[in-house]
Amino acid sequence: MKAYLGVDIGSISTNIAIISEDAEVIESLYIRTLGQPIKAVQDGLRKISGMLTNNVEIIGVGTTGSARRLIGVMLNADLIKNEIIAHAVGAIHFYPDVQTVLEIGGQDSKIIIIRQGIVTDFAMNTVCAAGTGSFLDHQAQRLNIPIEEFGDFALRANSKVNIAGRCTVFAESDMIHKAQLGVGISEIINGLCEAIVRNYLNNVGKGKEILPPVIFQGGVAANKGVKRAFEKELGYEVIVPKYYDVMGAIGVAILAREEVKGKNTNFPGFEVSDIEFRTRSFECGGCPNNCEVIETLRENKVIDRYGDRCGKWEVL
Amino acid sequence: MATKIGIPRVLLYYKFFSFWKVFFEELRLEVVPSDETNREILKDSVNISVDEVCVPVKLIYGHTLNLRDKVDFLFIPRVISTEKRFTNCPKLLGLPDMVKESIDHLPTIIDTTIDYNRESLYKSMFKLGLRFTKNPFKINRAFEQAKRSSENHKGMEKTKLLNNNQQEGIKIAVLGHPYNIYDRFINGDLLQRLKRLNINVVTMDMVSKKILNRSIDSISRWIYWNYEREIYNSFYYFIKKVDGVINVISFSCGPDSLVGELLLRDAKRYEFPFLQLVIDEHTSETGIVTRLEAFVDMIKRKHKQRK
Repeated sequence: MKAYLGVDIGSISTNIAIISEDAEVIESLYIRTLGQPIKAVQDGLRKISGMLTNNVEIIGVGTTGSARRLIGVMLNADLIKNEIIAHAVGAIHFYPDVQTVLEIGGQDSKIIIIRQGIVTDFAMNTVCAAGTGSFLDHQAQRLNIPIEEFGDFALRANSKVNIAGRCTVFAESDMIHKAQLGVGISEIINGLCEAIVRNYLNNVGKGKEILPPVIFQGGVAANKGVKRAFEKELGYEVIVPKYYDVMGAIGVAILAREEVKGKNTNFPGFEVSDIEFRTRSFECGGCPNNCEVIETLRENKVIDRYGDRCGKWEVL
Repeated sequence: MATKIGIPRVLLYYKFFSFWKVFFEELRLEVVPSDETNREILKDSVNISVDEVCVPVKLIYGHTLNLRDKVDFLFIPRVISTEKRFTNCPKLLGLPDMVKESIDHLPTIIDTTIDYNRESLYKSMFKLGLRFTKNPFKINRAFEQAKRSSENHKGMEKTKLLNNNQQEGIKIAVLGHPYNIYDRFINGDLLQRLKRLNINVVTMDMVSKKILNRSIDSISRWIYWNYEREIYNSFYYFIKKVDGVINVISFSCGPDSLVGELLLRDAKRYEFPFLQLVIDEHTSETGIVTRLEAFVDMIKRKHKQRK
C-alpha cells in the first residue's frame, strides 16, 4: 500500500501521521518532544513503523511545526510547510465546511479563519504564550493532577470562580490565592480554563469573525474544560475532531501528497531512525551581528546550515 | 582633513538622508552615516534607553554611540513637522534632548528644528548652513542641490523596486514607517524574505505625494500624525492594486497601534488579505518567517483555487 508521512514537530509534542492515497489515516502517533526534536522524531518513526503492516510504502513526506526545517532536512522531506496552512488543510479535510479553526498547542496558539474552503485570515499569539499547553502542564504538575484528568476536574465545578488569565504569572498567584481562601480545586481549574479561553479570544481571536462550524484542535483540545468554556463564550458548538492532536501532521501529509504528484520521494525510509544526526552551533564573528549559525550533521557530514543573516554560511 | 558630520542611521534617516547628505557635502563637510543596525548597536540601545519607547527610537542611542568617536558633529535634528498642519511623534520632537541627557562625551550636536508650521524648510536649513559658512550663495546652492538629489533619489528607489518585480506573480504592498521596513535588522529582513518567496513587493515610496496627502473622508477626524496619514492613504491606494497588504508596526507605538486597528477593521470589511506584523527588540525571526510564509501561502492557495 502506498502512503504519505506527515511530521509536526512542536515545542512540546511531536506528531506523526501516515495517510493512505485517499487521505485516510492509517496510523498516527503523539509523543513528547522533550526538548530533543531529532531524537523524538527518530523514536516516533521507529514506533510507528512497528505499528504498520509490512506492505506500506512511503511515497511522500512533509514536515511542519517549529522544527520543520531541521526535521525536513533530516528526513529529506518533499515539502516543508508552516503550521498554519498544515492545520487548516487538516481541518478542511475532515470538515469541508469549517469556518473557524481554534488551535492551542504547547507554546503557541492560533486562529484560522476559513471561508468556502479557503484560508482568508489567521493570527498567532504574539509576545506572550499565556494560556497554552505548557502552562496547563505546569499547573497540573503543581496541583499533582495528571494532565489527562484536568478537564474532568473542570467539568465537576459547581460554582464560578474568576481567575486572572492575562498573564501566567498572575494566573498562578491568583490560583494560589483562591486555594488559600478555601475555593475547591475543581472550581479553580474550571476558572483557569475559562481564563485561558477569555485570554485567547481577546488576544489571538481579537477582531476575528468566529463563525460555525468551529473546530478546536491541538493538544489542549483534549481538555474538556477548555472546550466547554469556548462553547459558553462563543455560543456555538465546538467540535473536537477525532485526530485533534495530530491535525497538523495529517495536514502536511495531505500537502505532501499534492506536492509529489508524479515525482519520486526523497525520503530515505524508516532506517533514518538509525542514522546519527546531530546539530552544533557557533558564533560567526564575521561582523558585529555575531549570528549564531546552526549546523545539522548526518554522520559527521554537514547537510544544512542556517541562522546567518547574510547567507554566507548557506553554501555547504 | 574635512570636518566630519555623523548622521545616525535611524528614524528619518530613511526618509531624508539623501537630502541631508548632499546639503552637507555642498558645504564641504564629510558625511558619515552610522553602520547598519547590528546586534551590538541594538544591545547598546536597549541598555541606555528607557523601556517604554518603541525600538526604532531606542536605536538612536546605539547608533549615536557607533558614531561618537568618529565624527566632529552629530546631526540629530528636531523634526516637528514636515507637512503643514501635521505633526510628528513626540519622541521625534525630543530626540536631541534624549540623546544629550543619556550619553556622555558627545561631539557637538546639531539639533536644528524643522517645523513647517512655523518656518519653511529653506529657512531652517539656511540657519543651519550659517554654522558652517558665511557665504549665503553657497547655502542656497547646497539647498537647491539637496532638493534635486532627494527627488532623484525617490525616483531611483521607485524604479529599483519596480525593476525587481516580474510581470507575473503575487504582488504585496508593505506599509509602515520607512525605518521599520528598511531597517533589515529589526524587521528580520522582511523585504528580502518576500523576494525569496517570489513576491513582487511595492512600498509607500511608489505612491505619489498627492495621494499620500489627500484628505480622508471615511473618518470624521483627520489623522494629524504625518506618517500615519500616509500609511492610511497608501492602504486605500493599494487595496485595489495588489493581492495583499502587510503593515509593519513597532510595539508600543501609539499612532501605529491606532491606525493599525483602523486598517485591520477596513481590511476585514473589504475581505482583503492583511497581515499586521508587530516588531520589537525581542521579535524572533521564526515568528516573522512563519507568519510571512503562511500569509503568502494563503494568497497563493486562494489564487489556485479560483482558477
